[in-house]
Amino acid sequence: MMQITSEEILSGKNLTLYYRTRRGIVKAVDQISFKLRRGETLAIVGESGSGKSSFANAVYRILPRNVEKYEGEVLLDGVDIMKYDEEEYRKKVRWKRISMVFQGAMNSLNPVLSIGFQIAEPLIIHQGMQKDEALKKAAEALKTVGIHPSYINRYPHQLSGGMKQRVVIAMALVLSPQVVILDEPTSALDVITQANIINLLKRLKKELKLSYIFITHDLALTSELADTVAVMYAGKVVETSPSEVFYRNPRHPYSKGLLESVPALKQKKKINFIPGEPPDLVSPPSGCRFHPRCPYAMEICRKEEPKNKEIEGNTTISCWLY
Amino acid sequence: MSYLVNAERLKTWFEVRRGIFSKSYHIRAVDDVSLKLRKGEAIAIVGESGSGKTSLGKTLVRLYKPTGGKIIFDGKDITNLEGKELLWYRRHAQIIYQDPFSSLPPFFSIYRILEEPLLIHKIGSEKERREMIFEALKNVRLTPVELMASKYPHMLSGGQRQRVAIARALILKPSFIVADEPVSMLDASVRIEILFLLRELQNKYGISFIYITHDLATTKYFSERIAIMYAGKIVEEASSDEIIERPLHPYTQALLKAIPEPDPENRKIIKEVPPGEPPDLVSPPSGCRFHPRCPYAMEICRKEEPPTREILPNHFVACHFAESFLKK
Amino acid sequence: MSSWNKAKGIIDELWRGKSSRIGIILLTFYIFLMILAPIVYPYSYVTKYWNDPTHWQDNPRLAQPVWVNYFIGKNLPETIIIDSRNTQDKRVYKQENILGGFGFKEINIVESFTYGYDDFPSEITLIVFSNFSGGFPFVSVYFMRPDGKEIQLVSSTITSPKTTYYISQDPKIINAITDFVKASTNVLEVNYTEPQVALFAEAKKGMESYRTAKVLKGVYGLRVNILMQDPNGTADAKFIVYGKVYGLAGTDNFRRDLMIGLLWGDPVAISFGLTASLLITIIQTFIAIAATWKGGLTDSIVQRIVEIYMVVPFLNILIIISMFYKLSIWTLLIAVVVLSIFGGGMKGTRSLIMQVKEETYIEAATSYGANDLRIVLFYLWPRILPTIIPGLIGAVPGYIFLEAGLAFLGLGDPTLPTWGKMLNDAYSLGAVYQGYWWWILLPIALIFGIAIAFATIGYSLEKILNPRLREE
Repeated sequence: MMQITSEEILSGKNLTLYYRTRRGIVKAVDQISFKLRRGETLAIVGESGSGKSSFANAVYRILPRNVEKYEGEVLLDGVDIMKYDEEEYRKKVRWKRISMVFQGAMNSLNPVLSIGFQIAEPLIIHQGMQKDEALKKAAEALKTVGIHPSYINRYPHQLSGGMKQRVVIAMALVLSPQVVILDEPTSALDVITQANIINLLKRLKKELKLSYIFITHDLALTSELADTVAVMYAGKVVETSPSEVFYRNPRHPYSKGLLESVPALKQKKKINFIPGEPPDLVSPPSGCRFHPRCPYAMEICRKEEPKNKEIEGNTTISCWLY
Repeated sequence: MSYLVNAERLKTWFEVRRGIFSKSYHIRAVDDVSLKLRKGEAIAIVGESGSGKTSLGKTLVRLYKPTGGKIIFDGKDITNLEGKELLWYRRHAQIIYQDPFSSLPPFFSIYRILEEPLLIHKIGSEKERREMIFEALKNVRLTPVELMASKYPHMLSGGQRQRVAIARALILKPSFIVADEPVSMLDASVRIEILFLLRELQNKYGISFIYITHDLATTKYFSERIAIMYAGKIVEEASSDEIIERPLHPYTQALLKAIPEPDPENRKIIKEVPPGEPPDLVSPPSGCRFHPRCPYAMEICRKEEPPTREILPNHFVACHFAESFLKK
Repeated sequence: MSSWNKAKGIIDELWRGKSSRIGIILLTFYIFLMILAPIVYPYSYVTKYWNDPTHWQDNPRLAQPVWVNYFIGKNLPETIIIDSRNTQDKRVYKQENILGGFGFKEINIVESFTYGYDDFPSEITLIVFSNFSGGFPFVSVYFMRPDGKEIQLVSSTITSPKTTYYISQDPKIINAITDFVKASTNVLEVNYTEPQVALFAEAKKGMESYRTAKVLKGVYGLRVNILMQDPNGTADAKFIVYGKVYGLAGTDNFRRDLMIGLLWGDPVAISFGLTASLLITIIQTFIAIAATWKGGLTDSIVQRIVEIYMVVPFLNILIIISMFYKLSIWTLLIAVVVLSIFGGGMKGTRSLIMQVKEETYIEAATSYGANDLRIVLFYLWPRILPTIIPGLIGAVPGYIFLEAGLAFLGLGDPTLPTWGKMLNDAYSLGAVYQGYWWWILLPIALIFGIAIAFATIGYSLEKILNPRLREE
């Protein structure tokens, strides 16, 4: 039974998203539950094919045409926003209370509009603001993300990669949301720029009292922001635990394997890799989806899917070993 | 000298011309780079995007012709080779690309992909080629070999495709391979496996590698030496341990600091990293190219380009104040 | 995956689509026709006789197709031919007498037939064959009607072994018939007698005119009486009552069976269209690939040539050429190919190759030693092949129209019975105004049909082979 505390700004229960494709039904998000507390960062970690981007789409209701199944419960401040229809969702939730920085967004900026206008657009459309006032707010937003306000008249091609990403973040913050979903916000950036952006995100979180859902494949990067880590594999969340617990002692065999395969420069740690490849989401393995690659697999792992269980260290895990 | 590849003051500049009548300008992707690679040695070229590292790698395998400087390969000057002689070099120097999804021709079977280099260089009879292809597949652990050979690229995963790319690079039994970000586009759990494979092949066949990457952390598992590249120049070169333990160039230091480590304490800290971004290669900053972002920049850094000096044995740095970091 | 399986898969997909299924059915039909043509009418037969008017003498002129009867409810007449040389024909009664005394020979031929059609014949002809030595024979021809009336049509001497009496046109015969009409209907003056109507009409007022006459159905007979001096002479009569319908496609002005034109137009159209399209596409693509890959000066030169080609009016040049030189269909093909090689389609191919040549695997090929030729042949060509095939198929109708159009303008091959040529003949004889609809509509329908076949298949092929255009 999910406890709704005033601490939780966003939570999900049995969230499901299936797609219909030529090859069959892709079970991208399969009955996932999560909790995001106010002012904290929940990191969703997974490889490509784990369904983590689909998870963002499911939470934020960005659905393509070929949806087969979309159900579950998503509570925003105690209210189930899954029950909203499209119009209500657009008016009340999207961009206003939850916003999103999409993967590769910096490359999707409109090349023919100035960045000032692109930041101002949600203000004009959603809040009916006048253009001049909106542009003023856009200039302020640029300042917040560390770009000089005079840049509002510049065009995307005149900006570097890091600056473009700052613009995208400014766009996501312009309506003062409470929750920001960040899907691989630094994937195309070089290491130093990445560090700068992460610093920015840390600062913004504190100053604007934001809560983040941070989606990435990079476990090292995750530790820079995450308070809670949820590991996704083949459409399911296999382990959720606080950062301190996770990085010191990951329990699920996949989490363990994942952490071991992250090269660490300064630490002396054991390095290892997980054999095999992530499974196809159209026909995932029976029982526990990780069993074909799991060094601890037992008979039951092949037959039955393990249920979510709360174990010590404030961890929820889905594994027959526990 | 037992250097297999000796690049001296290498320059690769790309000319860009907007129209017939407008002036052309140059992208100085590789700007006065010197590098020596021993037989059986692996050197990592670490840099961010736009540092020129990929251009350097492609120049070394003569996909680009150097605009200046020279490359000596096994005692032979290959800088300006053409025709048959260039073909000879192509047999000994190979490249593995970053993107496993576009580096394999989609309409060839795996067998055919591996056969191509052999056909071009007219190696072996059909039977001998068949054996070589299967052996290459075995070497990269794509088994069962006959089944794998009959597949097409779109049927394989990213990791498997990259193995095919490695097998293709190996099939001519080269002595020199440039691996351009070979694992950047692969899943985290697959990366280490591939790097281990490369290391195994390096040891087994004594192949010299240039390993190009932006992820310094991976060099721990594959490369004895590291060269740090910034804005078309090599700013520091030393053994892997030296670079990590005793970085003597501010840029190297910044890189090391900026690299995320899996440690939950990190979220409480704001890292000190230089602001700004790498410069464009058309008109890089004057003097030392890193000076606009360098926390230690002085007047001289703006005026004069720092020469590359051997500060410690086999540890080369291009910074006016390299010595001052020795105390740290 | 073997190419046979792939081909089968593609055909299956084509079958599934609505429009492409029609295309496949049509194409099969046309292929069937194409195979049928040389079987029913061998090539040698066609080239020998198509332009030989004498071969078609027994066919009616400008006859409609037989199946017209189903639509108009009337039973239009088919041609009746009675030849006394055909000893099996039961309708012939022949009798030879030697007249005593002078040694004259008398030959009596009676040819009888039932006429049950609802409409009058279009023409009537009688040919008398005679073999004799000495004096010229004398012939009298009598036409016997079911109502018992008899008309003497001819009474004259024969001067040659083959004498043809054009009963519907010969003024003397027409006079005889007019007299008959006047006598039968008690009319003093008759304006204009249509002989083939009057002979077969009920003996009533107005029997001489098509508009007012009514067909007299029943058994008719023709009696030919020949008197000759030569006791060893022979004579035969061939009586042709030309109908108004013939065959499945009717006849044209030269009495030719239009079915031949329709059937033979098919292989000509298909081979011309396909060959032109194939040759042009392959040569054009190859040049485009090679020039684009080479880049630099070569590329620029080729592009300028293409632009010149795009500006030059190619059809006009073709017309001018064919005004001075009579082009056979193969020369025409070569001319079309030469005038199209550097056509605008090359620009499209070029932009595709520009993208493909940047692909990593192309650069990789250079890295392990592939030279320009190898890259063009083994890497660029197979990559672009699926993209050009739909265009190739879709371009076929264009070339078919071109050939038909040129033939229609009178500039095509004058000897072959192609659809365009048929239309050209029809047009120059005013078929539109005269209402010879089958001469126009049937070839047009076939041209139309084949265009639809290739166009729908080409369009659907593009959807199948270009995965980006697919709908999930």
